[in-house]
Amino acid sequence: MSETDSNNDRLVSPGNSGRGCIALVGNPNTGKTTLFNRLCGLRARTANLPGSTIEAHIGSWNAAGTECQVVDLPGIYGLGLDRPESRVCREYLDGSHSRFPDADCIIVVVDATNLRRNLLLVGQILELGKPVVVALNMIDIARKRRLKIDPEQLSRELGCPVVELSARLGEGIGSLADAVRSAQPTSVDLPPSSNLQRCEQWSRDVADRVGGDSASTDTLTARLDVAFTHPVMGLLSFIIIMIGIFWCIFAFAAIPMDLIDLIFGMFSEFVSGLLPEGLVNDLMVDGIIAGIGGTVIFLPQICLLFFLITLLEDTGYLARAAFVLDRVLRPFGLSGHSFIPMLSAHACALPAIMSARMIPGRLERLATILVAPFLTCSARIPVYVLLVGFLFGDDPLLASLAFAGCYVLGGVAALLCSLVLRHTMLRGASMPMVIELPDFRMPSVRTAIVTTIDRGWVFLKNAGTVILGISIILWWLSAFPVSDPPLEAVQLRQAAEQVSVEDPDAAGSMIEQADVITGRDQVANSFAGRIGRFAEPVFKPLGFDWQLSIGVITSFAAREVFVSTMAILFSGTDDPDEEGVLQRIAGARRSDGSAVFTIPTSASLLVFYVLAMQCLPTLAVTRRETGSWNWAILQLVFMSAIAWIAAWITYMLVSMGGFS
Amino acid sequence: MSLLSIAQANSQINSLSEVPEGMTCCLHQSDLEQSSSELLQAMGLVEDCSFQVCRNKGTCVLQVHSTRLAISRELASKIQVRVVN
Ligand SMILES: Nc1nc2c(ncn2[C@@H]2O[C@H](COP(=O)(O)OP(=O)(O)OP(=O)(O)O)[C@@H](O)[C@H]2O)c(=O)[nH]1
Ligand SMILES: [Mg+2]
Repeated sequence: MSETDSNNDRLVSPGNSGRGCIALVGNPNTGKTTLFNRLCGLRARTANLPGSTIEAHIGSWNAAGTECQVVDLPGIYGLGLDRPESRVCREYLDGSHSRFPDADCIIVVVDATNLRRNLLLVGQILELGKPVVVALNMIDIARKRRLKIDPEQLSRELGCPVVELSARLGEGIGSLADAVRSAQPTSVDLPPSSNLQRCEQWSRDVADRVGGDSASTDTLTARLDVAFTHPVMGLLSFIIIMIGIFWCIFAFAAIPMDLIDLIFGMFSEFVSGLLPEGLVNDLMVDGIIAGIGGTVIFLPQICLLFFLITLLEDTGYLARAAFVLDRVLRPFGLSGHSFIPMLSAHACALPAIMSARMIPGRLERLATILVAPFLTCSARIPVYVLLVGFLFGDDPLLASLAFAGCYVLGGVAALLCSLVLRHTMLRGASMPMVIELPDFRMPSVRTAIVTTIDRGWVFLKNAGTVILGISIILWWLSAFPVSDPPLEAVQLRQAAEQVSVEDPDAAGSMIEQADVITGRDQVANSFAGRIGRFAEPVFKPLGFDWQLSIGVITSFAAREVFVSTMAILFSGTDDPDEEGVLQRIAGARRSDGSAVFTIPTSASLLVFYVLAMQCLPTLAVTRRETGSWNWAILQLVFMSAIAWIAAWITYMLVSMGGFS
Repeated sequence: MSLLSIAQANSQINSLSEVPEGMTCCLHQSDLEQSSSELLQAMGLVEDCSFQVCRNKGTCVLQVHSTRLAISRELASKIQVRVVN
């Protein structure tokens, strides 16, 4: 008795961890992560999609003054299955997962609208002999469907506390804390989980007795599925939805983009007027503001992309898309399971490669990891916008087609490479596709907004750290060593001095021209210029001069750095007061005075950026997920080679086509 | 689907991939790899359970009690079912 008393002020009695720890276990898509976020005040990823959590997360829950830790686990259909997600749960629950403390209590999150099947897992968890609480989640939906489940009866049947819950609405959290306090290992006799037939019978009987056994089907889901799972209509609707998303991104992002450009322009002018002319002024205006401004301008598009994809995820549509695309992906050696990683690769390759963990077949998984970086990530958007603008700036229709073309090119490259890989290094049979189709639901706008803010913040933080750092280094590399003004500029200045009295206008324009020549000469002779010249021979066949070569090299840290590099390199060579960042880059000149961004060069640069592996973090994640540098190096080599060859072909074709 | 073939479908054990859409079936047996068959069982597709075939073109969508499952044709062809109605 005294032991219970002393434990009363703790939520769960701590095991060897010293602090109480609760594990959240359950079938996929039952709301574990939603509950985890609610308990711990966190924002881990949730989606109406089985398999949205791929690894264990830990947080702390402060329930009325008592604190304990909570571990959110991936959803599983069975503890003993030979599946990646089941392995993660087993490793954690049997204590071989050393990263987190052992669980002192398990909350099984159960979908109240699908009690019978969920009980199969509850039985397996009760068998572990730990204190268990059953959280009857989605009770709001169950009520809407007039399912009447008796929680007390269920609690008696299972020998553990049962709490009705709506994790999304935050209902029942208080009772959950009380239930966790009173949880004990069950004393009820259960069929052994090794005997599936008996377990199935048991779960059917229990569900029947507590009133949760009437099959609950959603008529809306059934109706929508007529179209979305149809082999032809399903594919068509997928294409229409994707086009719709990209159209929205373009249609709605332009206004905030212009606004950001305007604000940075004004800010730059303000700072430039505030500081005395000289090195600090240059660093602030040409280095920091130009570099960050060139990146932040793309924030609206990235936010919109994340907002729309999160909304779509939350409807339950993605499982259908995966299913319909299974047939399309299979001939290329991938499967419908590869679809979710490949879709998230359109935001960023890092989470995409990580989510490939949930692909059951090893070969498809490796193929997905290796080709995922071909798909257009959000870091490429700034580069695409810049280059497509140069190519088709005056024709919005052609511009959006070219933009979509980049996505298609990346996709086609990914499929073809996978095809080649699966016929060479990764030969072998594919795993068949099985996926649960969740009910369609109204997406949560709140979740979408929160995710968008989080992702936008990550992008801004990146702009404030990596891009800021690279901007400063690059500014330094291009500003030093300081070279003497070239003879041409000196002469122009002298001539200007002579005419300054009679014709001040002409003198002014002469001085301006002298400044441009000096600036260009300065960059050309700087450290950055030397590096660019060193690399130039490699990129010359693609139409890149030494300045673009610098951009290609610096963007290895992150692709969007290309735009900030251009903004910095060309900020000193033109009149920065009059035009926005993008126009200034467009007007950039080569050493011989010709334009940098000719049509063939812009086209080949665009193709290069679609296909090249310009991302160090991706290589690191590939290494981690495949367990070997070999795969990462292979990825780097084949992607770079393909990018170079394709860009070269593009440059030749466009040049031959007579565009210059 | 002719009446005759519906009648045939009714009377015998079929491969799931050949069952017309809209029919209710009962799982007879499957010759799947162990990992696939264990997964399907854990998802609710156990022996003798009945389910409705919602779609069976290219791929297969089943309503098993409250669970909606999509499985590839390859798997469906290895699952034997009795058509109930
Ligand atoms: N209506 C309703 N929706 C909920 C509730 N709890 C979760 N959801 C929704 O259900 C979906 C799945 O939620 P998640 O928290 O991602 O589920 P999960 O169990 O973590 O899923 P996995 O990680 O894939 O196993 C999301 O769209 C949630 O918004 C609830 O109580 N009521
Ligand atoms: Mg989750």
